[in-house]
Amino acid sequence: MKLTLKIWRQKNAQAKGKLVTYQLDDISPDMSFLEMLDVLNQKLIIEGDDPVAFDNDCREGICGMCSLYIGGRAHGHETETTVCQLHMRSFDDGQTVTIEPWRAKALPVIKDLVVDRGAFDRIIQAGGFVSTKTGAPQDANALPIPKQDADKAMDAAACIGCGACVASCKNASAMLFVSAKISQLALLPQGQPERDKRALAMVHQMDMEGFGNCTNEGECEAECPKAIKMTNIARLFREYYRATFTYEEQ
Amino acid sequence: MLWLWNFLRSSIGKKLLMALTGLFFCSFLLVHLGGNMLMFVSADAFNAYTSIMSGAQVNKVLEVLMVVLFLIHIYTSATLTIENRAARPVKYAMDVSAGKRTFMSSNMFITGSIILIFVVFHLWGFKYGEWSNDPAAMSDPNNLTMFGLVAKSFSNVFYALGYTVAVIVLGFHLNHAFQSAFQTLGLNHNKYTPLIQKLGTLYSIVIALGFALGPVYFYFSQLNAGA
Repeated sequence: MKLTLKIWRQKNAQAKGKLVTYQLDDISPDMSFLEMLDVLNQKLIIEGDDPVAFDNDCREGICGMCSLYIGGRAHGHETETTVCQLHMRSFDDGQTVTIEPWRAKALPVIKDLVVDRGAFDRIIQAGGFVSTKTGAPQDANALPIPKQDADKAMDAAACIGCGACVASCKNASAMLFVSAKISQLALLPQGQPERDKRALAMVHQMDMEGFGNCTNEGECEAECPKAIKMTNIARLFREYYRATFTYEEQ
Repeated sequence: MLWLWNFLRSSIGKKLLMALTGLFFCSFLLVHLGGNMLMFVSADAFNAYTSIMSGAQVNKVLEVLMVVLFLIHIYTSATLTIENRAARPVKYAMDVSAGKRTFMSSNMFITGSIILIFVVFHLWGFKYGEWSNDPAAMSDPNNLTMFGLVAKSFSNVFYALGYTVAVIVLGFHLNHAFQSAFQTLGLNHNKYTPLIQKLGTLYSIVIALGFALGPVYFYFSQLNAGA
């Protein structure tokens, strides 16, 4: 396959970036999108150029590291797909493909296609955990959990924190991410002791980071590689209202 | 009360303000549309209704409430829009929808701004326009009742067309607004969300067509009368 790539190149966080065009021949349709970028980088290294920086790790769709805006879509045009699971066979021979980093004030570009997702970490640090003593595993079913709740919590826990929701939202809102992280704990007994405190702290941190506000459009849900639903955002709202009107700070 | 202030300044608190004030106006529009329908019953019925609406003391209180809620809706939307624009300082060179984006959902601020201009124009033209339903004024041949003012205004093609376009824009705004408000209230469930979405579409169409009926009817009826 032949490809024309327009890739965002930016030396560092302070530098002004621009789209640079590259030509690639002999791309196998069986390559993943990241493997195609590996081929490009090998070519650039041989030619003495700076290789394109992009995030990647597991390359099996579960780590949440890849973060490319491909052809105007987060993780490319396939649904429920991370970039590593996007294959070149879904592109046309001779196609021009634009590759950009996530665009959000809260997720600033560090270099080329790599963004700093530290804002997500700080939101989790604010309350996206349970404080519990670890030890020997409990007996199964010691804590009865309705199957429906377990399923919903598991669906929310599928969030890999890649940031596609922020990237695809016209307002760069992180509410789908935060809602998944709140839902996975709010639905389970283990999440109850810190439930209200968590909702208040995580939303506060989200607002501090400079994300936009959800306008209930649903692009995030459509682009999420793990199919996190907007019903979680409604739950986030309920959790926040509940915490606001029932939780007593000191 | 710091907690309440913090809540109202939070992203979700602002969204709730938008939803609650928006839903208030959704209910107001239904009442307004009901009143408008009296135009098609008779001139007397419509004039009687407008006299009550402009005269009753309770309505003065409601008017003040509405102005306050309207200002909250506008101020909050402006704040949210400014924050949302600031959240993406560098735009994408290429941006394609994943399929959920609609004309309605992506242009709420623009349609809202058009509605704001329209509301000012509308109040100036009718509510504070030159009309009197006072029986004493009826003897004056130049006096216009509210019905007369509406009929005269809409006999102008630009007036009638402007109103029709404005209420269609209102319909677009409501189409996204109605279902969006329920999501913001935290009401999203497989059981009833499909119904809310259908109701929202129906509501926006009924409002747009219902309000367009006045200008269209009066414009064409004076054309017929003239011919």
